[in-house]
Amino acid sequence: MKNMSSLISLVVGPQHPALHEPERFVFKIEGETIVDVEPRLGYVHRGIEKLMETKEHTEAIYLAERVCGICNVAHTLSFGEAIEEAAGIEVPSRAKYLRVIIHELNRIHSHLLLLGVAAELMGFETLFMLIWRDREIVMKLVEDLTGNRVISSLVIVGGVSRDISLELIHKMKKHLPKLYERVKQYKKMMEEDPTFTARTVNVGYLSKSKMLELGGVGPTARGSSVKMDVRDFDPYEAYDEIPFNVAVYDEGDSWARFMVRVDEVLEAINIILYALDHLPQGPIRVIPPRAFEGEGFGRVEAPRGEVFHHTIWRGESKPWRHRIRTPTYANIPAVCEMFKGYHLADAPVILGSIDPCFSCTDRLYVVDAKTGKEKVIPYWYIRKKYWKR
Amino acid sequence: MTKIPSLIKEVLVNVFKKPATHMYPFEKPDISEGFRGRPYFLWERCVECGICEYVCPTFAIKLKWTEGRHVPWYDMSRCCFCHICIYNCPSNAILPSKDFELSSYTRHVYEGLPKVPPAPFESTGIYKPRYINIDYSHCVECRLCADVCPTNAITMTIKDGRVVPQYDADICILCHKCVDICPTEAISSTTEFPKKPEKIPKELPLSPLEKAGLIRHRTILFDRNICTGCTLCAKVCPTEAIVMKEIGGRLQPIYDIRKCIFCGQCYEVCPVNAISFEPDLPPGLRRKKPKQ
Repeated sequence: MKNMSSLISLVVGPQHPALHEPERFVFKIEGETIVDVEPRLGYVHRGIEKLMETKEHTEAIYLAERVCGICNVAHTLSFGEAIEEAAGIEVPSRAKYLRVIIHELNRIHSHLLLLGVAAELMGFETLFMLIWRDREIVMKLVEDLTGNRVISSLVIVGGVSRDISLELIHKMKKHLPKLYERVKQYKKMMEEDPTFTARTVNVGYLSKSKMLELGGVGPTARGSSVKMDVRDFDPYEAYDEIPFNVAVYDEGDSWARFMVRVDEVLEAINIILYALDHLPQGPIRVIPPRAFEGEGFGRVEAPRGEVFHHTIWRGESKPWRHRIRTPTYANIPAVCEMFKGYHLADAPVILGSIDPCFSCTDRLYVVDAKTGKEKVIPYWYIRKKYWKR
Repeated sequence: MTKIPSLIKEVLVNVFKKPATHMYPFEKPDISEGFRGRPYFLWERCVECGICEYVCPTFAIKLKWTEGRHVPWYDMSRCCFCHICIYNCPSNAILPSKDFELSSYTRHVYEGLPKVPPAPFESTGIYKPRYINIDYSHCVECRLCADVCPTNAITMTIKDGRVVPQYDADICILCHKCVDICPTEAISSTTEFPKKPEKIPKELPLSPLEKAGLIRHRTILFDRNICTGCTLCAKVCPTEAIVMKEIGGRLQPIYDIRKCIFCGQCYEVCPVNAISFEPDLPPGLRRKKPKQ
């Protein structure tokens, strides 16, 4: 009775200044401390998987690109990997290296975006401005390479759509070491600066065993000393030929999760410079068949974690089923555990530390109004019960 | 005692620097070389293959008949600027540009060009078939052309007491299957597209059978009192002109005269003689007698 009377439910979202995308969290607070969290997903459900079944792969790759705008390369790459495995195509080696380059440029741009946003969330606007100014270097390189700042459309099924020029290689080799120095300086700042460390050190702690139990992916898991990176243990494209380190931190708090991202930016610049030096000659594209039979998987390490596309084709020009698994959906149970025991003022920083992207998260979710029970309905059940022809 | 933050140095350096902000409307930004802007269409290079329409993921390109040519029209509000049409065009008829200031006060629709130039192959004396002509005075109404058409551009209709094919130029892909199969050479293709394409002429001439004094069509009548609903006539019908439907608790045959080829199999198969023939079409569909 004593506990019951002092618990207050505080609704944050779906429209809230601290969250940049529509998502609702109900915080049960006691005084200033968060005791329990209930997330509610599904505000931006768009029915993309169903729409994918009505499109051919030449059209559907542009739909896959729009699952998430920030990590668009990861989604197209994963889609392309799945289709190429199903159709049995081998991508030329130059295309593989170009895919690695655009993938890492996308990772740098996404991580710098998050670090800026995180600095803004904790009221450190100077760092936000500085980081976003240096992000422009990467945005300009992406525009030179692909023709657009964010939505790149470089990866197509069977290869890449355009080649890299010699001038651009020189330009990248000139600008990326500059960015490397800048990011190194930011890393030093984030380690020392009291404004940053006071809000992040020992905030949102999650141990390694708990993280393994809740199934977090990507930099969120790597911040809790789980050495898990798809590029490392299941190399795709040209990652088996390129040497790189996996950034792992043992602290398990918000600070560690931010530092993993800073280290990954530094590592990504090294990967790009290595790939530019070892770029092989040859064609950049093979022509894929229009209709085929088969099943394929695409596993890709997106900036936020593991993106997984699974596709089934049954000899028609359109897929029979396409399934997408996105990283933020896997990180939601972990972030709910992180909130518990910390102040309400720390909630935006903790949420920001998993780099949430809710528009790629939403799935079908059903709430029974009478009992209040929630359950996820599988695909075969909908097909059996609700589809009428 | 707290340390002096290392950001202080960075802040002091930036005090004396120029601002990094672009003053956009007054100062044009520096757009890189391969920027994916609005595509422009050159109709004098277009060979009208339709690849851009097929390959476009957002249906922003549509091929339309304009002054005798089948050329791409472009809707900018649907375009996602992926440039896949430019990579796939066989005759370089689509040019990339760096235009990015594309907002307007009115809604975009499919837009063509003001002037339609002649096609590139026409200057070398090569002409493309554009339209299918049907000569109704030779047509014997066998409906083979409607059967063979892959896009249903030719369908059968009833006009002036004749069951004749009608032609829809919008759907036709000019595969010439109907030209090949026509037994009386009534169908031919032309290189000129008419100014006002019409599906069927207002007045039909007499068919060759009518001239010879033969009446080809018969109306099939069902005596519903005798009919037992055995579905034999529907099973034996080669063109599905007779379909069984449940009306008032009974299975009854429904007859579509446009599909019927007047073969008479249903008449022969009926066990209770419920089917009878009447010469010519039903009275409302017969050819009207000329006013005198």
